[in-house]
Amino acid sequence: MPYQALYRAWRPQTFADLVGQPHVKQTLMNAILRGQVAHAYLFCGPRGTGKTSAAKVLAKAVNCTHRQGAEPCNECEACRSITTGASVDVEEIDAASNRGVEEIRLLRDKVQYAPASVSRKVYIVDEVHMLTTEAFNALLKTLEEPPGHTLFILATTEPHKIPGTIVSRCQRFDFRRIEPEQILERLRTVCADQGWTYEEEALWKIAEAADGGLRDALGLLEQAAAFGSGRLTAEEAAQVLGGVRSSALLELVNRLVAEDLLAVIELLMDWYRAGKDASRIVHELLQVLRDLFIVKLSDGRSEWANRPGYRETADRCDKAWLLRAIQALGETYVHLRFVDQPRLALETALLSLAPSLTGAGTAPAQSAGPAGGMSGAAAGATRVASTANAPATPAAPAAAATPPASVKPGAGSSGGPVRRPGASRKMEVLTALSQQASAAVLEQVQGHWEALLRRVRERRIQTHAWLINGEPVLATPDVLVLAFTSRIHRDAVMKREERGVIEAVLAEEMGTAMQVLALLRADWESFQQTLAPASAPQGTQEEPNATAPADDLVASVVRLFGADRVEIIEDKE
Amino acid sequence: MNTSEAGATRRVAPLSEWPIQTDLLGRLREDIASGRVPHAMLFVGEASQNRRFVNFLSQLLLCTGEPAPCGRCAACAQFESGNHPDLYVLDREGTAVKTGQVEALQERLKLRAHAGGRVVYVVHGVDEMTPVAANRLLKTLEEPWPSVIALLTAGSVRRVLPTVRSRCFLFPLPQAGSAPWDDAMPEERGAEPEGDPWFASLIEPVIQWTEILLKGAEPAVILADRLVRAAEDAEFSDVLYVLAMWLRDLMHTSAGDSRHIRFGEYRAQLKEQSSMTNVAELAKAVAVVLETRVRTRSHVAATLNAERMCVRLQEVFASVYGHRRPL
Repeated sequence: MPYQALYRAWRPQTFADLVGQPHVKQTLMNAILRGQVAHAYLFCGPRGTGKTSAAKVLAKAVNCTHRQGAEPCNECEACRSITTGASVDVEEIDAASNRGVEEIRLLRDKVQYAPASVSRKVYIVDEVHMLTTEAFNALLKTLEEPPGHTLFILATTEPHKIPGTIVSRCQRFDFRRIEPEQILERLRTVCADQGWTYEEEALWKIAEAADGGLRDALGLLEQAAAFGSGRLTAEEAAQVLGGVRSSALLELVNRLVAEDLLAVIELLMDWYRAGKDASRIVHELLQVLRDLFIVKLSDGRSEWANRPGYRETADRCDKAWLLRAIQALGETYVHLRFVDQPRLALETALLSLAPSLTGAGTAPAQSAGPAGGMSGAAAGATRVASTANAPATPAAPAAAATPPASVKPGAGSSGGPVRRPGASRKMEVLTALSQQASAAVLEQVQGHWEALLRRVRERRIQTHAWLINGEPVLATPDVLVLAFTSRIHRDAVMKREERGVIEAVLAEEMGTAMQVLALLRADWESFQQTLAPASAPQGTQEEPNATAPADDLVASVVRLFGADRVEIIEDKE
Repeated sequence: MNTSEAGATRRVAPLSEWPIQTDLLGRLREDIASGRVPHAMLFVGEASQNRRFVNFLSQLLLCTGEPAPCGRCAACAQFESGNHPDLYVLDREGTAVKTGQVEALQERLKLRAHAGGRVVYVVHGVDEMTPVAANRLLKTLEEPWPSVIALLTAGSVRRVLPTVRSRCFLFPLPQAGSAPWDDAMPEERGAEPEGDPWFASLIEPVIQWTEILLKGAEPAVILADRLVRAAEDAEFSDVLYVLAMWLRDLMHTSAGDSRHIRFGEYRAQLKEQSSMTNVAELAKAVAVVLETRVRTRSHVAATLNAERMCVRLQEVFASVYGHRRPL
């Protein structure tokens, strides 16, 4: 028997063999058992999900002479001839190669003749989306009312290209991407059958990389299986997938956080030299960043925390930075498709991720300088998070000195695993500002607020719509801090053009140039709480909120990772 | 069955004699030696590199001697004279491989091999084929006759039709040349003679232009005009390619890297210009240039595109200019 690729050797021959797609299997099997097989089916779904295989199994099932339930026996003459492709009555048509109206006319003529050796003629029209419009139209009448002895099965990966008139004449089945768990199970079966031993992680990697296509998974498995050496390791799998070792990825993250850009360049160039694909690197890097983020959130209790290097790296990064990096690289990943200098694009994306260069979410440009040097300490501060009962500035060095082991949830300090990213940096800026705060200026601004809003409205009505939701809460001679309840409003106001308008109007109204800084009310309140014991309360009296303000970061984290992975520990104050 | 039919083990030239060596190819070599030849392989890399390797591999697969490719057997002789009857090569006609060529290939594949051994077909540039041509390959790729082997090449995996990609074993090929970390040259430039690269005449104007940009002495419109004029007898997208490379070199210099520099001969300019700005700004600037280059492909008026880029570059370098903000 000549050698065949695994994905061909393991093509499903019965419905039971078909991985996933329970909705398709069940419906088809019921139809066969009841003898109610329709005259035309349309199978659509992504590559490698079993469309053509299901079509062939169905063709066998309707023609099998010794059917067992709904399953074909695969032994009778009919089954065997269909499997080998020798049957004259079951035709697999490559619609991408026979896409013209002429070929369809020929097909239409043949449909009229009764089957030669089996009970039902089956036409499997694969890649049917490639038929021309005329060809589709020529097929319409045949498809609607074919002779009783024929069965059409159309298969395609691009159902949107099929005219509605065709779709409405068929029973449509949507094949779904196969879950990694199911792919994994099939891979295990194949390995057992081939007598290969394997590392579980290697199979996982392959199952994930296959992206729902079983054919891809089997292809990768075959490529990764080292014939002779007999053991399939995670390292080999990574090699075949063109990926990079996780330890090297962690190293890159470490260097980035430490702002050792030269080392970042060296690492990247080494990968390029080894022929790694830029989009693959981005993909893997995103995965690692996500895992690091989970390690951070779970406070070291997740499964990833036990993998070598993850814990240490996670301790070095700051949550805000991780989120930003994930977002930026995500954009790069999409962008890489269009750029024809992908390596350069990845390089620039990475280099602009150095913490001091990214700038904090709400902090103005001036904080970028010191923040860079502080990032290590800031990360420590976020981790230990003792800002709740001490002023922010002295907290950072103290926190950095405190070993993380001393943090116990509920032991007086907050120690929450979920904290607002960059909170400490924001607090630093606010503390610095509040030391120069001037109640007189604030009053002045509050007095002019209505007039200000009016003027903004005259200039740019959108800006007014955003700004009206804000409230001036703190002012120094040259900076005005506004608090917003909603993140959307806050972000909108911080956009360049909106802020420009506001600052221009402020300058006109107040006579001096002032910078505008917007933050969330929740942040402002938590800042006030930290301030309360240290200095006199500022401005208006804030009711101490018994329930913490709805923390939208927490909400989005829960949405991202699922409630079961996130533990929220409230600040006790 | 013939001994060269798939399934038989045979001796294959050691990896060190292969034109390209990677771990994956090492494994491919073992597979071929043990008779497990994948029926469809996709090689991804630079065009010239793809060609070189696929050429070698098809000879290896067709050779009937040992160790393959022996260079002495009749098959090798036929191959070297360029008329092996069981090798079928589809190369781009105009911009890409056309549907008609695939059709002819399918006709040919209905016949068995002349020599009774393998039939090898090569399709170059599957990432640039029209959807019609690429789809047409699908069924041919998936279940060929035994001993029919497909060798496909592409410049970028992500542009290959996913259904085609899913039917092949993928082999990335590392890049040739002095700078393996560089992106592939623009395709149409790839084949130019060595020694005098096509960008030699562009780099100096680009360096001068960058200097003017960094000094902020001129408004964006004039800057853009200068750049378009620098490109008088070259494609604008090529100028952008060189500009992106130069900015990248500046970025590396600024980060303290002196090993991965393309235009090392302009050391003085690199030093001077990189000292005026910083890594973050340069990274942003490269991103702007890359984006502009993508836009050149979508029928945007070149001047307009250049002006937009200059305005954005000046925003990036705003801090370099300080108070001397150009118009």
